[in-house]
Amino acid sequence: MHELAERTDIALETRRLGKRYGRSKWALSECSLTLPTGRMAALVGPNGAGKTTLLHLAMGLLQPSAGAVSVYGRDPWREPLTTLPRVGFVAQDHPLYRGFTVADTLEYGRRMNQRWDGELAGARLRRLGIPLGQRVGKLSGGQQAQVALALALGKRPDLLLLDEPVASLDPLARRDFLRTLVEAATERGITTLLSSHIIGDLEQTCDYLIILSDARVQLADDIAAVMRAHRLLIGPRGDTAGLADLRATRQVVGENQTPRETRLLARVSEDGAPLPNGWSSEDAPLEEIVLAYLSQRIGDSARADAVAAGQPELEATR
Amino acid sequence: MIWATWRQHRSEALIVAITLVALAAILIMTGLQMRAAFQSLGVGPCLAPTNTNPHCPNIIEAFRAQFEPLDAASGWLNMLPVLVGMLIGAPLVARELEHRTHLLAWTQGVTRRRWLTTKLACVIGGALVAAGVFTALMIWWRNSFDQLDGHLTPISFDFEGLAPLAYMAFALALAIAAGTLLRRAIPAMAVTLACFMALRLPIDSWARAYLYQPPITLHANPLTSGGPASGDWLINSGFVDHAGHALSDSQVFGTCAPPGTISKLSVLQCVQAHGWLTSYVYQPADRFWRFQITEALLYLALSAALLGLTYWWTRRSMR
Repeated sequence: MHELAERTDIALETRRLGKRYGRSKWALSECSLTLPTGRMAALVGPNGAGKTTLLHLAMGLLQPSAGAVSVYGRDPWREPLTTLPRVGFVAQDHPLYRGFTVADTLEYGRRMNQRWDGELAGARLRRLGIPLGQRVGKLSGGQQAQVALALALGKRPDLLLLDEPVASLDPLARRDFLRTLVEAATERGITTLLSSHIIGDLEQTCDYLIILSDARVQLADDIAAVMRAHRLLIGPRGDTAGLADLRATRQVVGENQTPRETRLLARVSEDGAPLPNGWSSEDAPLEEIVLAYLSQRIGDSARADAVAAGQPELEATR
Repeated sequence: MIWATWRQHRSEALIVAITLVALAAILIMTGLQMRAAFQSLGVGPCLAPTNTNPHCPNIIEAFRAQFEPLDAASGWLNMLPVLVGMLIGAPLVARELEHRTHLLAWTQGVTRRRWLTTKLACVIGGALVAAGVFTALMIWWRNSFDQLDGHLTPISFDFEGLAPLAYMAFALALAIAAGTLLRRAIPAMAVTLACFMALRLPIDSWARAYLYQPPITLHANPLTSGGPASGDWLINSGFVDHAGHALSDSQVFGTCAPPGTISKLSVLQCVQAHGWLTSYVYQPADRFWRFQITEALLYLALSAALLGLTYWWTRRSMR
């Protein structure tokens, strides 16, 4: 077990964190990442990549099988009394007691938490037009998500973890939810970690990106730095010499053949090596970067290691 | 935390309260009837040791004939604890896991251990209060039967003293543990019913009579001895020869009760003439509290173990 120092600048930190279910199925392994305070971070990965497991480990709901996780330097599994009050949580599909009214749910929050700001939570729900006397089970999915968020925010958390909060919502409800979230998080400086597989939303919401795939962290960095560090290279189809040249001078993350051209996603070359003839370079959209990392082969551990090794360098560019 | 538990389980509490009031109404009504009949038939004086009234066996028989069906029916009330366990205990944790609201409850500012402790204390405490009220009612209601047969017979023993409270605690602990382990309420209900019966039936029909303390065996002259005192729990009776070897009923009745004629007295005279004795196996009435405490401790120990497992499973039950 790694010793983790008490931190105020790091909201969440994991060191070679792993969780095994049963004898041999690793839902998460060798997960090392750092989430600085004040960030609005997106946790992206395909279904089954270990996003929920990571969030549950950070919340102290699960005991790590390997490595260590710390929230502000504290072990959430062993010191729940220290970490629980500081961390807000919205679980996947935002479970609530369906028989409770909205007002009951807020009262539940007040009774279950030492730090509680019910005024703010109630006012926010009223502003959204959610009737406090209504039974939770009768609210729409979007309204239920808002109630779950209000409950998590009412806790006045320093760190807010959200597991696929918008996955089940229609686009309008999704926009409203993210708007409420960003407002509240920036207003009160809450560090936020939000898992999702819908990338478009995250680009406007988040400033930090963690890509989880095959139970491992593929990338964890500031979104602006990630965008600066990657270029989309476009060249003619079937230019094998050009491709070989690019592979030799740059770290190619992804490759995509369209009927007319070849599109490569590559890290910006350190020595400014020139592009081969017929190739051009443009800014890579975030979605393309994420997809490239997500579609990296499962067995391609060498590349994953290279990415992992590249992390400190990326952090330095921030 | 207590508020949250109350808010979640108040409808169950209301149903238990209504059921208890309805049961109380029935028990008070029939209990008053029973007391009136006991009085008017004059059963009480017949039970005095000095009584010589020759009509007494008929009087007692008349009372029994009138109320025995009610007594037998009341045996079904033995199912109340397991019903409470199935309906309230089994879903207690399982429903949270089924609806995934445990993710809500366990991510508030309260530790899982405290969450469970409050839930258990409120629900088991409430159920024990209800069981206490019910037990008091039953002790009052069974008064007439108990004057006839004592407190040790299974149907009295099961409803009086500490044991009924222990059954309630056990049924709930069993159901809560099953729900936590199985993570689903309906299978947990089935397991609760099966395990509860699998424990109670053998204990009621066998362990209590023979295991807690060996029963007393009495060999007595069939004509001059009435056997164990009134209030003792007669488990078994038969005939033995003068050396104490058991005789089969067919052997005794084949010899002493040829088909046709005879009275009970003539059979017993014949038995005595052969030098045979009546044999009684019984538990004396004064062992009631010892047995109650033994049985209550047995069920409470099991309950404690099951609740311990529930704590452990709750801590580990995330998947």
